[in-house]
Amino acid sequence: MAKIVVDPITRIEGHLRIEAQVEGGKITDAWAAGTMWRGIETILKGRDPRDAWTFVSRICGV
Amino acid sequence: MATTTHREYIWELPVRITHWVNALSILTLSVTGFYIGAPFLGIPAGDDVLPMAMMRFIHFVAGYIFTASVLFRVYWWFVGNQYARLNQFIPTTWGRVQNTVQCALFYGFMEDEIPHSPGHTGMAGLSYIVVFMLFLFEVASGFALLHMANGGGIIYAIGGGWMLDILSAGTIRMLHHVFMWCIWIFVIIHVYISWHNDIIERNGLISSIFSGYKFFGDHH
Amino acid sequence: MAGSIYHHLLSRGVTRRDFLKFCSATAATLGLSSSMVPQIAEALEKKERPSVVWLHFQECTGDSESVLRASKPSIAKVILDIVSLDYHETIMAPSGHAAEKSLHDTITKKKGKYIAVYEGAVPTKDGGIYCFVGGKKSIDTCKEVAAGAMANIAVGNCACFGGVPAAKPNPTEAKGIRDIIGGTVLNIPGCPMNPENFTAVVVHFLTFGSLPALDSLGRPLFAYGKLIHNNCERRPHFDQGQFVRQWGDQGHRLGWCLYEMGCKGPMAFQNCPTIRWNEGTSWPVQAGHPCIACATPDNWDAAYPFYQRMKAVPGVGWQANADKIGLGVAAATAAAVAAHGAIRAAKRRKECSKSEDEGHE
Repeated sequence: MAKIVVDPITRIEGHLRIEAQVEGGKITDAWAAGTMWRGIETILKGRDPRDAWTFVSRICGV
Repeated sequence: MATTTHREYIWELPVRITHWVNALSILTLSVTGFYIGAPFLGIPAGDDVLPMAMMRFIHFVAGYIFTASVLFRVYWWFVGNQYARLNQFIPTTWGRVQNTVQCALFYGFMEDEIPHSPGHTGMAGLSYIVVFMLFLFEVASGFALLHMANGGGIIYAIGGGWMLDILSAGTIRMLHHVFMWCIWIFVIIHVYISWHNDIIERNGLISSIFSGYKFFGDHH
Repeated sequence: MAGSIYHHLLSRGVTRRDFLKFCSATAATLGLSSSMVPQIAEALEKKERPSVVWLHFQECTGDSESVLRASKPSIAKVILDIVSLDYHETIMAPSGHAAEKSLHDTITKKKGKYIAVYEGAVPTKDGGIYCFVGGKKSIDTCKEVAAGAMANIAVGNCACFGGVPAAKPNPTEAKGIRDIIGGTVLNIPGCPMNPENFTAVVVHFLTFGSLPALDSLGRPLFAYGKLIHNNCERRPHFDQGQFVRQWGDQGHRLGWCLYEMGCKGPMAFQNCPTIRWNEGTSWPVQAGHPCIACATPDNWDAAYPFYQRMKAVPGVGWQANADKIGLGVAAATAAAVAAHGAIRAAKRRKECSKSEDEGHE
């Protein structure tokens, strides 16, 4: 039983970690983890709703 | 009711001059400043009418005049007569503190007599030192905001440019505006209390800020 | 010289003419006179492509996209051919261990000879666990890479000053690179940064061997020394009192000043009105949207609300503003003063009639 870890996944936006459990040449279990958090929902609380789009568009620059 | 027996010279000429220069420049600064923050005029006809540019220009000129007046008055705190000095504003003796408390109680209808003060009452002095701190902040924040637009120069840097390293420009502008309102709260109370005290004390308080003289009687 | 930047550009199809135009445009962006153009051209003709590692932390990849989205061969696109980009998670071929090996090899074999570019803020709360890349905390990677770099450049507001992650209440205690590693960090803020400024900085470094003059926030003066308000094409409308009052009104259609719509140009320093965005196509104000001072530290709170002239007074929420509060308090004071006067007058009347009754005067 082996575990493969690919971190960082490149050629994407953001930070992604993929782990796969391999048994007998087959993947028996797998995990995907986003390894970064900013808390943009928390930041938006209490702000003028008309400005929300300026923050939310910065979730992803692609 | 007191009968007046003599008059005394209380407010020196520099005190009176700076008082009126402050009053006029604050009025000018407030109106122009309010426009700069929230342009209220309609769109003028013609391309050669420049209201915002004019308002800013007048605001800056009045600002410089106000700065000079405030700084001169600060200087006079240290060289003026006893009624112009710093200890009239910051209570340094127990007697002065009592004067302030008695005054506050009198305004609150909890005391029957206003404390006798030939110069400023304790409350007046305290309110003036607070408003002077507001004036100094307005001067410094004004220079900080001007520093951003006119860029560089030692006057701006000393005057208030250093404030930009402590507070954001948005905060400085907001406080500059808020303290204008605080100064107007002071003006409302100040004008009323002067009128009120003139009637209570019957010593020619209102005319004294023009002539410099107050009139005293047996109770002096 | 074979292996030089110039030859690499030639091999990518850039003509000599385009190369010289690029040198001229960069000189202009840097605020240098045209007599400097030969010096720039010579540096790029002789120098080898410098090694660059580009790290991503708490970011949206907007700054990388700003550089990558150039649609025609231009200053923005050329930058990728001027440098040897040895690590960049968005475009590099290897992933996982192989990618981390690229980074590790560059910073060890080329120690002291690579430029480190940082995109995104670094979280510091709870030991910095809110951003891991390759199983390592960003705060550790940042410090490790910075130690051996010949120049540290932070791109975008997030890497410079914390950006969006650092907006109140800053849930991860995100910080800019400068606050993590100290020392000289060249900041090229913006949201995103303008790639022409980034290119100009790299070319300056290659030509003169040093970073350009910086302001107190570490931003190059050639790009961030001038107030947007002083260079805006709508400034005459400001001076004339011609303001947009509502989205889509006559003034908006005529291109009037966006001051009343909350434009933060009067507090923003960047060269947007001059070099503009997307190879000089436009910039927010030209397109009819107010400036949000995206190159300013904490602009997400300092320039906020974006559609209001004045910052909200703390503690009273975004709907009240300083004027509403001021007017309210002034009115209350006037009312209190009037009430006081009435009570005083009543008391004196009572006292006077009392003293008359008692036979005094």
